Amino acid sequence: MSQTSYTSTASTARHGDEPLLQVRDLRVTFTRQGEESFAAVDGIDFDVRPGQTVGLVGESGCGKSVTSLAIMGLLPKRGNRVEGEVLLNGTDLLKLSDSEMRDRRGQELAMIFQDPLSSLNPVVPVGLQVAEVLERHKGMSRKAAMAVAREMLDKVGIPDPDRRLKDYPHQMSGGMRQRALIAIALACEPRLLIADEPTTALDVTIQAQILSLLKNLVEETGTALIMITHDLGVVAGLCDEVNVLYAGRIVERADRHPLFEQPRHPYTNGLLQSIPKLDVGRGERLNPIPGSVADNLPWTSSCAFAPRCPNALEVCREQTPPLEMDFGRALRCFNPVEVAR
Amino acid sequence: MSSAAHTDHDVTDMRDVLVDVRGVKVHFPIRKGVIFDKIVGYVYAVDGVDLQIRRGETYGLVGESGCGKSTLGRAILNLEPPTEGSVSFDGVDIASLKGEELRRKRQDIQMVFQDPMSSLDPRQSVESLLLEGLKAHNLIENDAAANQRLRELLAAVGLPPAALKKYPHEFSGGQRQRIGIARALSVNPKLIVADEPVSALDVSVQAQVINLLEDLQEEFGLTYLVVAHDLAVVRHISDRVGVMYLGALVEEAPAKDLYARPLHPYTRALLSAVPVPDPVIEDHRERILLTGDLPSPANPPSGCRFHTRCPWRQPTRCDTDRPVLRTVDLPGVPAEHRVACHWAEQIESGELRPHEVEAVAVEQMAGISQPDSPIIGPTSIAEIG
Amino acid sequence: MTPSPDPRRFGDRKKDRIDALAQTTGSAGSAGRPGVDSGAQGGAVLTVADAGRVAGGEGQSLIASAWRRLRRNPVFLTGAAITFIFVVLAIVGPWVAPHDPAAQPLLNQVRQQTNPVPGAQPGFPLGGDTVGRDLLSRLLVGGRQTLIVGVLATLGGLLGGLTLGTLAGALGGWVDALVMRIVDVMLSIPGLILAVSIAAIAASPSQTTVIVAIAVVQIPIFARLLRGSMLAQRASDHVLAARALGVKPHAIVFRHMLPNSLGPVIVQATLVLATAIIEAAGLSFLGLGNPDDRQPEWGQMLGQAQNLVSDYPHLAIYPALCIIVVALGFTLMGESLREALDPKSRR
Repeated sequence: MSQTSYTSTASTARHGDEPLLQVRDLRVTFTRQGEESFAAVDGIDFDVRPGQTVGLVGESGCGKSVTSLAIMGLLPKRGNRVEGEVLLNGTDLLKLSDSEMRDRRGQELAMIFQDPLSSLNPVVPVGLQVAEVLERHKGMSRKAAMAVAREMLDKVGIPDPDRRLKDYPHQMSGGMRQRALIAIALACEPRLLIADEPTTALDVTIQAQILSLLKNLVEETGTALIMITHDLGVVAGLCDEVNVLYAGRIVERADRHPLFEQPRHPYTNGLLQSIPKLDVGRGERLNPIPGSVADNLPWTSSCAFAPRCPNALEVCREQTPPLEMDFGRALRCFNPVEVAR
Repeated sequence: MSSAAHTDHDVTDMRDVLVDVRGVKVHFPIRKGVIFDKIVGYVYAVDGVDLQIRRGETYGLVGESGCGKSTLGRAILNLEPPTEGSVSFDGVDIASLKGEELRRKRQDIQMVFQDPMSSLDPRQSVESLLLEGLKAHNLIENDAAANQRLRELLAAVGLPPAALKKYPHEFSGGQRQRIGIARALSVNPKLIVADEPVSALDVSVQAQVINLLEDLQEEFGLTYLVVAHDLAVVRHISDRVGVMYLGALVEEAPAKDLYARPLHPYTRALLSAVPVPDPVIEDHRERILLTGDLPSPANPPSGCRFHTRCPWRQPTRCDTDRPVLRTVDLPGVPAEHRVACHWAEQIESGELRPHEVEAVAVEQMAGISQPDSPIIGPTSIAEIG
Repeated sequence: MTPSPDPRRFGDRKKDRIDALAQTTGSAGSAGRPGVDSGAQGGAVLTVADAGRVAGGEGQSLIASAWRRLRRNPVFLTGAAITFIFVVLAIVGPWVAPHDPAAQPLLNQVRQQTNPVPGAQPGFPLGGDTVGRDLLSRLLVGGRQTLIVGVLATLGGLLGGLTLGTLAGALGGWVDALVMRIVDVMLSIPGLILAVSIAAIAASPSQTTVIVAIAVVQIPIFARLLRGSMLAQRASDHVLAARALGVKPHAIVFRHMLPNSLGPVIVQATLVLATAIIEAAGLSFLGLGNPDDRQPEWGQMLGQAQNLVSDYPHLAIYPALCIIVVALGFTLMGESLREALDPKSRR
């Protein structure tokens, strides 16, 4: 059992005491022959309670996708090292064998990805792909499974589901494919659904559909959802609790209202300030965060964000800030943004 | 130097039109056949667009995939020859130029591309990349002058002279985009078409590049056409905005007016779909969700192209008459705000209410890729409300 | 939020920017640490300039970074070592060989019936051949001819293929269609048969006919490869950007498209060298090579050994081994080159 204590927020209280998923000190290090090893995920702790929607927000290279792949056990066999604990209902997923993990995938936890075209098997009709999951985990017959598959396609809002059962993925357009993916993921009613940038590749009007669909479905079925995205707008509308990631670690965690009203970590604050808003036009200069993720320092001896931080102090370059509780949120900063007024 | 229009970002009636696009159509033939490719149809990527860009302003072109905005951007540069129509730049019709004439005219109109990695030749150093344009248009007298010019360019985009000897893969995404901008600036263009200039960049870096583009516009007196799908970016950077759907402009207005008061049903749906990083707004907003698939650009609907998915569609006119971009007769709406909708006034006044639309799935034809999209084509089914 | 930009003050902004750059440039030399920003308020000590760090020093082109990776790759080093030894031997062969390969010092030991091939003996570690020449010397010197044939044939194929492929890829249209139909016809004939046919056309067989035959067989392979690469390049963004910039068409082809297309071609060339050597051996074996065997060549030696292969297999084995090892050397080099130049493994 790791030494770090989990720092929870107010939203966790609403969803009950027993967490569904507990991630403790997760580390994923990528090793390449002849090159330095690289810690994509550098010590991440978070909980997900039943029915809760948790957001993992960050830009490219922050480790959010790698985290989700590590939880699902989908990282490649070689070239990486995974440490820490991922407890699903008490069982450490990282210690399970491949076949034990396969039993759980689809049934207890499921994932949907960014690009539905490459996630669907191009030579198998969509209806059959949904039915296969049911056959495997629920032991249904083909006929029964196809009937349930039809129901699922209807539930995710695909029109004319009887015909769509026999369609191949390439015959469907992007939004419909994503709906099909959701149907496959939710077919066996998993307790946890991980959505890795599910709408990033979709047009904005379609994104609105899919997010609305996801929101309704998880409310209806009580499934917990981990939403991984770089879009703070998506998070604002969907998630109960939000984790902000930077360079492989969580730098801030809070319920969504407090996070957006009063971001305390300079990175969160910087992000929110630098996004162009719909109601602000020309004449107002944006406040970008200088530099890029390439300008990070190593976490082991400093705060990775220090070179880009307007609040950086000398200590930030010398010591790693710990993740601490601060006014009902978790914060990793020596010099956070002051609470206004 | 910058003209008066820069300090006043509500563009008044300046008659100094730099780019005059009239009736531009870009149709891609669809070929099938075993030995000889027969033309079996067309993809109507851009199907009759008129727009004017005034000197010194930023025109934002917004829309989802399949709307033809990127194709239109390239057609204006004649990188994609228009099938029909004229693109008049400073009096000269670019669409009709060819060969060496066209090549020389390119000096005046430049493009900034979406993907900073693939738009820079990986085998050339930054110095070589920036010199290319200068050499192609005989803009350098000697090495010293060239070097000076390169340093100036790099300084203008915020990069140190040390960058000259390096190769594209040694830079971050935002830095590469700056190099791309420097390249576009190197030949002293009058107009820059920016095709999704920030969508491939990290969120925290997007603001840097947007600021840079604005600074450069002031410093060098540039005119911009910004093509983007991110509505917030377009809002921030544009003086006027045009919304495209399935190859045509459906609404055009000064940015402030468009976002405050969208009149076309598609624009309304588009704006209501954008996620806003504010939980209070997100919880309380009313969404207009579209239904049905985007029709195939190879087989667009008759009449108004949007009528198959329009929540305000009426039994008359919508499926027979194609609406033209026109001014509306409504109080408080400036003459510059034009809409292509037969019923715009009645919708805005509330006389017509939205109704259910039956979802129609459009069969995706194999082999016909959306001409515009780097991302998967849109489709949707949904509820209204 | 900052106030709207005032045109009178943009000069100040430019000055700030240049100041910030000066700091970045200064820090670029000092091991890439972020510059100190003295202008910020409130204790901010260590921010980078807007654009981020640009490391100091000369840039490293893709070729240079590929080379760095190659240098540590054991597969490449093995292949390169073999190739290097082969090339060195080919050059110094005549001086290193203990005897003149055309001389026949063991002729007096050759007896048609009982001892057609003199065995190994002091001074002749591998023995002699059917006419009493030193086998070892012939092997050592034979490498030179093999190398010449292999390199020239590959070069010929490469040049021909480059020309055709560039024409097809750069011009497109009917030129492309015409060239590709020709290439298709050539490819439809099995390589060795095509080579044999071409070699047989010549009035009298010689080394030149072998080289030409093999080169012709290689041309369509290179042409197709290069055309494919060029087409991919033509559709790429940076070529579009060059067109938008107004770069002249020939500059686009030779500066943008060709260098980026050469990667797979170079790899193919090393592999083709290997097969060219083997094919040359094959042609000589069939008697289409240089009939004068005073100048040894491994394929030729292999061909001549077929009469006695059941009783004296070593006459065939030694030249064959040489051919195999050299081909292996080039193949290993080619494979590791392919990996090193693979764009996916570039940063």
